[in-house]
Amino acid sequence: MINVNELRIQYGEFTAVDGVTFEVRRNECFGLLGPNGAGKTTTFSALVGLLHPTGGAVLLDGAHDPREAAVRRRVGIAPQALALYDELTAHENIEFFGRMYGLRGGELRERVRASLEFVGLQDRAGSPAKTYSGGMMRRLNLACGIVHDPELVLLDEPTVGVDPQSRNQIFANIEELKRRGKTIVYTTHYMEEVERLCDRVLIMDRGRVLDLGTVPALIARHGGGSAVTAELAAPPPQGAELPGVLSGDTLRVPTNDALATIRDLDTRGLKIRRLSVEQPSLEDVFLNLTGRSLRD
Amino acid sequence: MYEISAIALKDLRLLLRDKGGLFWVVGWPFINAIIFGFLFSGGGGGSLGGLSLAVVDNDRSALSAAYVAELRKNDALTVEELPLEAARNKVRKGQAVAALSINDGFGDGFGGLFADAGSTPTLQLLVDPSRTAEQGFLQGMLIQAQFGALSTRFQDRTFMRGQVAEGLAALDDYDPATAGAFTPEQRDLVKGMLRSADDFFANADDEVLSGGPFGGDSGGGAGFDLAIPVVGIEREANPNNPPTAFSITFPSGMLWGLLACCATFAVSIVQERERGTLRRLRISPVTPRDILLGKGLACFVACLFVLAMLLVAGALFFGLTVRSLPFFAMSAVSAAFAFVGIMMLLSTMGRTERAVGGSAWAVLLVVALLGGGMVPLLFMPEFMRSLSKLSPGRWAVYAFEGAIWRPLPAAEMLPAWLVLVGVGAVGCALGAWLLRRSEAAD
Repeated sequence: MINVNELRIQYGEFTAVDGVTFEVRRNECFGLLGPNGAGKTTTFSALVGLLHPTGGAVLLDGAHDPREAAVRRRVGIAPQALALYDELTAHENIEFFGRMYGLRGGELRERVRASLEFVGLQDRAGSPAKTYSGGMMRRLNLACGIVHDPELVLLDEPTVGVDPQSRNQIFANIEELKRRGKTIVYTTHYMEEVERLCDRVLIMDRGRVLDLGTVPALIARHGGGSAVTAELAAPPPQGAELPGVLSGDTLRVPTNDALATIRDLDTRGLKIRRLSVEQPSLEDVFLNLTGRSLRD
Repeated sequence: MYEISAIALKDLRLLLRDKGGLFWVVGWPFINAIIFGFLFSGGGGGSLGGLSLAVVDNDRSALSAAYVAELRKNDALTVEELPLEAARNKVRKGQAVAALSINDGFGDGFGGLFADAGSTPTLQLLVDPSRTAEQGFLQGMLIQAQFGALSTRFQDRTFMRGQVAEGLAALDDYDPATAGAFTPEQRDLVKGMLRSADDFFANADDEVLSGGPFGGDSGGGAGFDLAIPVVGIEREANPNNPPTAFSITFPSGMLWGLLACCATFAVSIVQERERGTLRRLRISPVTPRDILLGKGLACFVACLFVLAMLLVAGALFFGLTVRSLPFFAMSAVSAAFAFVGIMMLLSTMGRTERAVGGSAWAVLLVVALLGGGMVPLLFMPEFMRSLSKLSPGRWAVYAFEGAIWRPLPAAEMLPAWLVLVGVGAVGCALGAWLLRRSEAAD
């Protein structure tokens, strides 16, 4: 659905996005993951036609410039910075943005109602946005972006600064959008969100693409192996040969087959109080790719 | 057009929810027009109050009391009886125009009322020399009161008979050898007149006496009435003068309304930018031109609303009359368009609300100052009036005045309308170009 080819965006001498290439497939949830300053929002702005690329191209359906009005009607956005009129009610905010996408009459009324219901704000629809909590504002921000029922939904850090309850509500909303067959581009620096929601993930840092793939594939490529950790109830027998590294009473054994490793430990006569299996995460992927943590 | 009107509607809704902004757009122009209207019309047409006169009654006679009572009857005077030093202080501090001292002997016969040359004056006026004009008025009113007191004396039967008796006694003591001018025949004649007068005062009934010896139709039955009868003459309307002060102040108030709308909507574009909604709008299918036109339409509607509101309120409550409604409509539309153009230009003068708000008011205050928003065009010196032609505000006020009271034909109104439309067109074009340029630079 979206083709980004050798996208380059420069501000003077500073290169914010440097030759980024990727494709977003129809009906998938595509994650843009990277730390602050990685170039996610700049890439995001190019996707919606707000920024004119210094080099390369962004095309929708292989041919259309995102700045075309017809293309914009197919795209919905929930920007990172809340973009709402505080003095207007939730209903008025959604209605106004619906009008900006050409909705009118009965269709507008129905879409406003559906959007309010979708984000769970129908009971507070008549209250000014300025009276909302941070989480409610985020949900309203999302509702304003989807009022015109777009095919492509761009969500830029949609859970920044929200309480756990609203966060879960937003996750549920995004999962519902996926079920309805929407194509979603989701930028975040929270790996848990990407792991939960995204079908494929593009990992960016300093304006460049580090890798792209499904979460399991990325972990398999860059996450390193799993590890079995055993907390020993008694010291190992004198002269016993241990498969991993013993630190205090904790034995950590790197493995590609956790079950086999556990069986092996059992055969060695070790008295084990507790066992756990550590799986690599996107955090490990990012650490291995850049030498830094996502939250650095 | 649908999206443009939706943006305009949203902006007007935001304005209605902003009580502070609403006050400046609607309340302030109204207050401005009313306050200055009352100031220019001399405190609402009420009396400015009488001349303040401090009175020192050293005579304490019936006549001095009658005299003070006569003074008090005069609405043009505010009389306060005080000891001498307090009265002097009042004059010294400018709290009284003058102090009137009624000295001993004032109530002795008729002679005390009007002092002879060379004798000790029975009335003395202590004045502040800088208040010459008021003293002139005051002296006239004092003489009027003296005659009023004299008239009261003439109605006093006992007093008058006493005066006649004194005269007769003097004539009896008269020595023809030393007097020279009075012959015995003349003396007898005068004595006869005085006896007749005594007879009159003794026998005249009260009604005749209250008419006084010079009675008749002089008014109120008092003998003398020095007040010149006042007949009200309706002033001939001069078409070159405004009929009321409000005819001047409402056009100025209308200019303030336009300025406030202009300043309010000039910041609305940067407000959109700061709250992130401009970004959202730019991602939507609407074009920057639509956004700007929506803002312009909102400003235009707000301007027309404020002008209409001021006109209706002025007509309903302050006697404002409109010479030509079509002229007013033309003036309102052209002036609103001019200030929409100025708004669009001002909206590009900064990247933050503070920057645009500050620079907008700086520019608009100059427009107001030169345009007659602070000092009406009518009261400006000639060079300022020439300079004011540089201000769109002046052309707006001139157009409103032309519709409200200036006897201007359409041919003379046309330049004002054309200037305003021209300012609007240039402002819109320049503002749109600057906004596109600044958005492209983002």
